[in-house]
Amino acid sequence: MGTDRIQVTVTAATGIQHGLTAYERAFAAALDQARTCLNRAQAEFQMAVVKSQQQLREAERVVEMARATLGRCTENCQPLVEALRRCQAAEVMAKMRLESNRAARAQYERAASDLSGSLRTIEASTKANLSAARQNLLAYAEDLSRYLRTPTGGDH
Amino acid sequence: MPDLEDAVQVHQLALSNLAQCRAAAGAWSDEQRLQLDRTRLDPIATDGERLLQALQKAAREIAAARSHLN
Repeated sequence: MGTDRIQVTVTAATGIQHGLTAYERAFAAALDQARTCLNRAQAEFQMAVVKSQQQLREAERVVEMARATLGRCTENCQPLVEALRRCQAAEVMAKMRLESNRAARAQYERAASDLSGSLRTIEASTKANLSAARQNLLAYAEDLSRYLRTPTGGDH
Repeated sequence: MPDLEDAVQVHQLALSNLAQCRAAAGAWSDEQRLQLDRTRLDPIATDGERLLQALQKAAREIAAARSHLN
């Protein structure tokens, strides 16, 4: 192999080395960002469930109060009957909201679990390949340098 | 708030840069390069594509889940 050819090869191998370093950095950034997003989303879904649980408890408390008030009523009770119906309707809505949020959280958890598994597998595989590629490039660069140092190496 | 779509974009760009860097280093073409491509760089690119698909799938699924939040 001639000196020019070796120089071209070394330049190309160095280019790949730099490309791998840049890729490794961007790859790690994408993984970090994905994990941060998952953590934030988990908090968001959990918060929605907790909030709707609180809303349901409040709706149940209001129904109990309306029922107790109606229980004490002796005359002209129709407005209190209507009020109890409205509170019960609100309670049904709060239950539905809680169910919907629980289902959304479960849907999120399935997606997050799948992605987390993929991130772990791909991260391990990519790190191993990046490390091995770097070692291969280093070993090859050393071979070329050794070749150039031989008496006839640089003359062809 | 950054979401998975941002991670998708970051990673898409990284993959594209890696492909460009490999193409730019096309002047190096020998058995070592073939070996490096076959055993290391191709698997890195394949894993990168898998990551991209996993991120896109999760982004779609989480957006769907979010649409059911009340």
